[in-house]
Amino acid sequence: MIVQIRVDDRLIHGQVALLWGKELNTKGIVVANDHAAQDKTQAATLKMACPQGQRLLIRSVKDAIGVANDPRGKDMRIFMLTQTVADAYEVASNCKGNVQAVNIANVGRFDRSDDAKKKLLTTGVNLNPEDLEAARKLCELGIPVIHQVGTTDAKTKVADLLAKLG
Amino acid sequence: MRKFLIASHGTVASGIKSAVKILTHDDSAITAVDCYLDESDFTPRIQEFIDSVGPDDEAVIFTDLLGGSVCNKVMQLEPEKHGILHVTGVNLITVMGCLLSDEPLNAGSVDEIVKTGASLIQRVSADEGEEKGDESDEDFFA
Repeated sequence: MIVQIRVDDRLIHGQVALLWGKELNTKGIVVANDHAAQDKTQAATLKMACPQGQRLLIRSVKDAIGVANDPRGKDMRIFMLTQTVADAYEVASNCKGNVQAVNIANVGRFDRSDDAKKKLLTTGVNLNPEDLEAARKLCELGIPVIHQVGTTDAKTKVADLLAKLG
Repeated sequence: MRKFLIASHGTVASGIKSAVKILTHDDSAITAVDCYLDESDFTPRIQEFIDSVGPDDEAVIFTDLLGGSVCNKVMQLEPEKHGILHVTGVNLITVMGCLLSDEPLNAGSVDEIVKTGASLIQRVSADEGEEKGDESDEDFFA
Protein backbone atom coordinates (compact mmCIF):
# COMPACT_ATOMS: atom_id res chain seq x y z
CA MET A 1 0.00 0.00 0.00
CA ILE A 2 1.38 3.39 -1.01
CA VAL A 3 0.50 5.47 2.05
CA GLN A 4 1.43 8.65 0.25
CA ILE A 5 2.88 9.73 -3.06
CA ARG A 6 4.88 12.86 -2.32
CA VAL A 7 5.62 15.13 -5.25
CA ASP A 8 8.92 16.71 -4.32
CA ASP A 9 11.26 18.11 -6.95
CA ARG A 10 14.22 17.20 -4.76
CA LEU A 11 13.03 13.58 -4.34
CA ILE A 12 14.76 12.21 -1.20
CA HIS A 13 16.34 14.92 0.91
CA GLY A 14 16.85 15.55 4.61
CA GLN A 15 13.32 16.72 5.32
CA VAL A 16 11.83 13.61 3.77
CA ALA A 17 14.46 11.33 5.25
CA LEU A 18 14.26 12.63 8.78
CA LEU A 19 10.65 13.53 9.22
CA TRP A 20 8.22 11.98 6.76
CA GLY A 21 9.22 8.33 7.00
CA LYS A 22 8.72 8.61 10.75
CA GLU A 23 5.45 10.53 10.46
CA LEU A 24 3.92 8.11 7.96
CA ASN A 25 5.43 5.08 9.70
CA THR A 26 6.57 3.60 6.40
CA LYS A 27 8.98 0.72 5.93
CA GLY A 28 10.17 1.49 2.44
CA ILE A 29 10.65 4.35 -0.01
CA VAL A 30 10.04 3.98 -3.76
CA VAL A 31 11.46 6.70 -5.95
CA ALA A 32 9.46 6.76 -9.19
CA ASN A 33 11.60 8.72 -11.60
CA ASP A 34 12.77 7.79 -15.11
CA HIS A 35 15.99 9.81 -14.87
CA ALA A 36 17.05 8.49 -11.44
CA ALA A 37 16.33 4.92 -12.55
CA GLN A 38 19.03 5.10 -15.22
CA ASP A 39 21.42 7.74 -13.81
CA LYS A 40 24.05 6.33 -11.44
CA THR A 41 25.03 9.66 -9.95
CA GLN A 42 21.51 10.70 -9.08
CA ALA A 43 20.84 7.22 -7.72
CA ALA A 44 23.93 7.57 -5.51
CA THR A 45 22.64 10.81 -4.01
CA LEU A 46 19.27 9.24 -3.28
CA LYS A 47 20.88 6.24 -1.62
CA MET A 48 22.98 8.55 0.51
CA ALA A 49 19.91 10.49 1.61
CA CYS A 50 17.83 7.42 2.39
CA PRO A 51 17.58 6.94 6.15
CA GLN A 52 18.85 3.76 7.76
CA GLY A 53 16.05 1.33 8.38
CA GLN A 54 14.09 2.35 5.27
CA ARG A 55 14.21 0.02 2.27
CA LEU A 56 14.68 1.78 -1.04
CA LEU A 57 13.74 1.12 -4.64
CA ILE A 58 14.64 3.50 -7.46
CA ARG A 59 12.46 2.69 -10.46
CA SER A 60 11.14 4.21 -13.67
CA VAL A 61 7.58 5.48 -13.40
CA LYS A 62 6.36 2.47 -15.36
CA ASP A 63 8.16 -0.01 -13.11
CA ALA A 64 7.02 1.89 -10.00
CA ILE A 65 3.42 1.27 -11.07
CA GLY A 66 4.25 -2.43 -11.04
CA VAL A 67 5.69 -2.10 -7.53
CA ALA A 68 2.61 -0.22 -6.29
CA ASN A 69 0.32 -2.90 -7.68
CA ASP A 70 2.43 -5.81 -6.44
CA PRO A 71 0.27 -7.97 -4.15
CA ARG A 72 3.29 -8.52 -1.86
CA GLY A 73 3.12 -4.84 -0.92
CA LYS A 74 -0.53 -4.93 0.08
CA ASP A 75 0.18 -4.83 3.83
CA MET A 76 3.47 -2.95 3.65
CA ARG A 77 3.44 0.78 4.36
CA ILE A 78 5.28 2.35 1.41
CA PHE A 79 6.19 5.98 0.78
CA MET A 80 6.56 6.94 -2.88
CA LEU A 81 8.30 10.00 -4.26
CA THR A 82 7.91 11.58 -7.68
CA GLN A 83 9.47 14.72 -9.10
CA THR A 84 6.46 15.95 -11.06
CA VAL A 85 2.70 16.02 -10.63
CA ALA A 86 2.38 14.34 -14.02
CA ASP A 87 4.39 11.34 -12.76
CA ALA A 88 2.25 11.19 -9.60
CA TYR A 89 -0.90 11.17 -11.73
CA GLU A 90 0.55 8.47 -13.96
CA VAL A 91 1.10 6.24 -10.91
CA ALA A 92 -2.10 7.11 -9.02
CA SER A 93 -4.35 6.65 -12.05
CA ASN A 94 -2.82 3.25 -12.81
CA CYS A 95 -2.83 2.01 -9.21
CA LYS A 96 -6.38 2.62 -8.07
CA GLY A 97 -6.98 1.17 -4.61
CA ASN A 98 -3.25 0.95 -3.90
CA VAL A 99 -2.51 4.64 -3.38
CA GLN A 100 -4.03 6.29 -0.32
CA ALA A 101 -3.10 9.95 -0.85
CA VAL A 102 -1.02 12.36 -2.90
CA ASN A 103 0.90 15.25 -1.38
CA ILE A 104 1.99 17.93 -3.84
CA ALA A 105 4.73 19.38 -1.65
CA ASN A 106 7.42 21.12 -3.74
CA VAL A 107 7.33 21.40 -7.53
CA GLY A 108 8.69 23.49 -10.32
CA ARG A 109 12.10 24.77 -9.30
CA PHE A 110 14.27 22.27 -11.12
CA ASP A 111 12.22 21.14 -14.12
CA ARG A 112 14.04 23.47 -16.55
CA SER A 113 10.82 24.40 -18.29
CA ASP A 114 9.81 27.99 -19.10
CA ASP A 115 9.11 29.84 -15.82
CA ALA A 116 6.88 32.33 -17.66
CA LYS A 117 4.41 29.58 -18.47
CA LYS A 118 4.17 28.33 -14.86
CA LYS A 119 1.34 29.07 -12.49
CA LEU A 120 2.13 29.53 -8.80
CA LEU A 121 -0.39 27.39 -6.93
CA THR A 122 1.12 28.21 -3.54
CA THR A 123 4.61 28.83 -2.12
CA GLY A 124 6.90 26.09 -3.43
CA VAL A 125 4.39 24.76 -5.96
CA ASN A 126 4.97 26.38 -9.34
CA LEU A 127 3.21 24.30 -11.99
CA ASN A 128 4.04 24.10 -15.68
CA PRO A 129 1.06 23.47 -18.00
CA GLU A 130 1.54 19.71 -17.94
CA ASP A 131 1.68 19.55 -14.14
CA LEU A 132 -1.30 21.88 -13.78
CA GLU A 133 -3.39 19.62 -15.98
CA ALA A 134 -2.17 16.58 -14.00
CA ALA A 135 -3.12 18.30 -10.71
CA ARG A 136 -6.67 18.86 -11.98
CA LYS A 137 -6.98 15.23 -13.06
CA LEU A 138 -5.50 13.97 -9.76
CA CYS A 139 -8.25 15.77 -7.86
CA GLU A 140 -10.82 13.75 -9.80
CA LEU A 141 -9.45 10.36 -8.73
CA GLY A 142 -11.32 10.34 -5.43
CA ILE A 143 -8.27 10.12 -3.14
CA PRO A 144 -7.06 12.96 -0.89
CA VAL A 145 -4.77 15.32 -2.81
CA ILE A 146 -3.12 17.73 -0.42
CA HIS A 147 -0.27 20.20 -0.08
CA GLN A 148 1.77 19.80 3.10
CA VAL A 149 5.49 20.60 3.12
CA GLY A 150 6.61 19.72 6.64
CA THR A 151 4.99 17.26 9.04
CA THR A 152 3.95 20.08 11.36
CA ASP A 153 2.61 22.34 8.58
CA ALA A 154 -1.11 22.63 7.91
CA LYS A 155 -2.65 20.45 5.19
CA THR A 156 -4.27 22.32 2.31
CA LYS A 157 -6.57 20.69 -0.23
CA VAL A 158 -5.12 21.06 -3.71
CA ALA A 159 -8.66 21.35 -5.14
CA ASP A 160 -9.14 24.50 -3.04
CA LEU A 161 -5.86 25.95 -4.31
CA LEU A 162 -6.85 25.15 -7.91
CA ALA A 163 -10.25 26.79 -7.39
CA LYS A 164 -8.50 29.98 -6.24
CA LEU A 165 -6.36 29.90 -9.36
CA GLY A 166 -9.56 29.91 -11.42
CA MET B 1 12.77 24.17 27.63
CA ARG B 2 15.60 23.53 25.18
CA LYS B 3 17.90 26.48 24.62
CA PHE B 4 20.90 26.66 22.36
CA LEU B 5 23.57 29.26 21.77
CA ILE B 6 25.93 29.13 18.83
CA ALA B 7 28.99 31.39 18.97
CA SER B 8 31.46 31.65 16.11
CA HIS B 9 34.12 33.67 14.37
CA GLY B 10 32.07 35.63 11.84
CA THR B 11 28.67 34.54 10.63
CA VAL B 12 28.87 30.76 10.96
CA ALA B 13 26.54 31.01 13.99
CA SER B 14 23.79 33.02 12.30
CA GLY B 15 24.33 30.95 9.15
CA ILE B 16 23.61 27.69 10.98
CA LYS B 17 20.60 29.32 12.64
CA SER B 18 19.32 30.34 9.19
CA ALA B 19 19.79 26.80 7.84
CA VAL B 20 17.91 25.34 10.83
CA LYS B 21 15.03 27.70 10.10
CA ILE B 22 14.85 26.51 6.48
CA LEU B 23 15.05 22.85 7.42
CA THR B 24 12.86 22.69 10.52
CA HIS B 25 10.82 25.90 10.17
CA ASP B 26 11.66 26.86 13.74
CA ASP B 27 14.90 28.40 14.96
CA SER B 28 13.40 30.06 18.02
CA ALA B 29 15.40 27.89 20.43
CA ILE B 30 18.69 29.15 18.96
CA THR B 31 20.59 32.29 19.90
CA ALA B 32 23.37 33.11 17.44
CA VAL B 33 26.38 35.19 18.43
CA ASP B 34 28.56 36.18 15.46
CA CYS B 35 31.83 37.33 17.01
CA TYR B 36 34.52 39.74 15.79
CA LEU B 37 32.37 41.44 13.16
CA ASP B 38 33.13 44.69 14.99
CA GLU B 39 35.18 45.78 17.99
CA SER B 40 32.51 44.97 20.57
CA ASP B 41 32.90 42.44 23.38
CA PHE B 42 30.68 39.43 22.74
CA THR B 43 31.09 37.86 26.19
CA PRO B 44 28.15 39.77 27.77
CA ARG B 45 25.80 38.20 25.20
CA ILE B 46 27.03 34.75 26.13
CA GLN B 47 26.76 35.56 29.84
CA GLU B 48 23.20 36.76 29.26
CA PHE B 49 22.34 33.40 27.70
CA ILE B 50 23.94 31.50 30.59
CA ASP B 51 21.96 33.60 33.07
CA SER B 52 18.72 32.89 31.20
CA VAL B 53 19.04 29.13 31.68
CA GLY B 54 16.91 27.82 34.54
CA PRO B 55 17.12 24.50 36.39
CA ASP B 56 14.40 22.91 34.22
CA ASP B 57 16.04 23.94 30.95
CA GLU B 58 18.23 21.76 28.74
CA ALA B 59 20.90 24.02 27.32
CA VAL B 60 23.87 23.57 25.00
CA ILE B 61 26.42 26.14 23.85
CA PHE B 62 28.09 25.38 20.53
CA THR B 63 31.36 27.04 19.52
CA ASP B 64 33.25 26.72 16.28
CA LEU B 65 36.87 25.76 17.03
CA LEU B 66 38.54 23.88 19.85
CA GLY B 67 41.25 26.18 21.23
CA GLY B 68 39.84 29.18 19.36
CA SER B 69 39.20 32.34 21.34
CA VAL B 70 35.41 31.99 21.14
CA CYS B 71 35.60 28.50 22.62
CA ASN B 72 38.08 29.68 25.26
CA LYS B 73 35.92 32.64 26.29
CA VAL B 74 32.92 30.36 26.71
CA MET B 75 34.97 27.94 28.82
CA GLN B 76 36.03 30.79 31.09
CA LEU B 77 32.35 31.58 31.75
CA GLU B 78 32.04 28.05 33.17
CA PRO B 79 28.71 27.07 31.59
CA GLU B 80 28.84 23.59 33.13
CA LYS B 81 28.39 25.14 36.58
CA HIS B 82 24.96 26.24 35.34
CA GLY B 83 24.14 22.80 33.95
CA ILE B 84 24.92 23.92 30.40
CA LEU B 85 26.79 21.58 28.03
CA HIS B 86 29.47 22.99 25.71
CA VAL B 87 30.21 21.41 22.32
CA THR B 88 32.89 22.78 20.02
CA GLY B 89 33.50 22.10 16.33
CA VAL B 90 29.85 22.89 15.61
CA ASN B 91 28.18 21.64 12.46
CA LEU B 92 24.62 21.83 11.20
CA ILE B 93 23.65 18.20 11.74
CA THR B 94 24.88 18.22 15.34
CA VAL B 95 22.80 21.29 16.17
CA MET B 96 19.74 19.72 14.54
CA GLY B 97 20.41 16.43 16.31
CA CYS B 98 20.29 18.19 19.69
CA LEU B 99 17.29 20.31 18.69
CA LEU B 100 15.21 17.34 17.51
CA SER B 101 16.46 14.63 19.89
CA ASP B 102 13.79 12.45 21.49
CA GLU B 103 16.14 11.82 24.43
CA PRO B 104 16.74 14.25 27.29
CA LEU B 105 19.94 16.19 26.62
CA ASN B 106 22.74 15.26 29.00
CA ALA B 107 26.48 14.61 28.65
CA GLY B 108 25.88 11.01 27.53
CA SER B 109 23.14 11.66 24.97
CA VAL B 110 24.92 14.72 23.56
CA ASP B 111 28.13 12.68 23.19
CA GLU B 112 26.17 10.24 21.00
CA ILE B 113 24.74 13.07 18.86
CA VAL B 114 28.22 14.56 18.49
CA LYS B 115 29.61 11.17 17.44
CA THR B 116 26.96 10.86 14.73
CA GLY B 117 27.44 14.46 13.63
CA ALA B 118 31.20 14.01 13.35
CA SER B 119 30.82 10.74 11.43
CA LEU B 120 28.76 12.54 8.80
CA ILE B 121 31.73 14.70 7.86
CA GLN B 122 33.08 12.62 5.03
CA ARG B 123 34.32 12.75 1.49
CA VAL B 124 31.50 11.69 -0.80
CA SER B 125 31.69 10.03 -4.17
CA ALA B 126 28.95 8.81 -6.46
CA ASP B 127 31.15 5.81 -7.29
CA GLU B 128 31.22 4.60 -3.73
CA GLY B 129 27.50 4.58 -2.95
CA GLU B 130 26.10 1.71 -0.93
CA GLU B 131 24.40 -1.16 -2.66
CA LYS B 132 21.09 -0.04 -1.16
CA GLY B 133 18.49 0.79 -3.78
CA ASP B 134 19.98 -1.62 -6.26
CA GLU B 135 18.08 -4.22 -4.33
CA SER B 136 15.51 -6.32 -6.11
CA ASP B 137 11.77 -6.17 -5.62
CA GLU B 138 12.13 -9.42 -3.66
CA ASP B 139 14.39 -7.74 -1.08
CA PHE B 140 12.10 -4.74 -0.88
CA PHE B 141 9.02 -6.79 -0.09
CA ALA B 142 10.86 -9.35 2.10
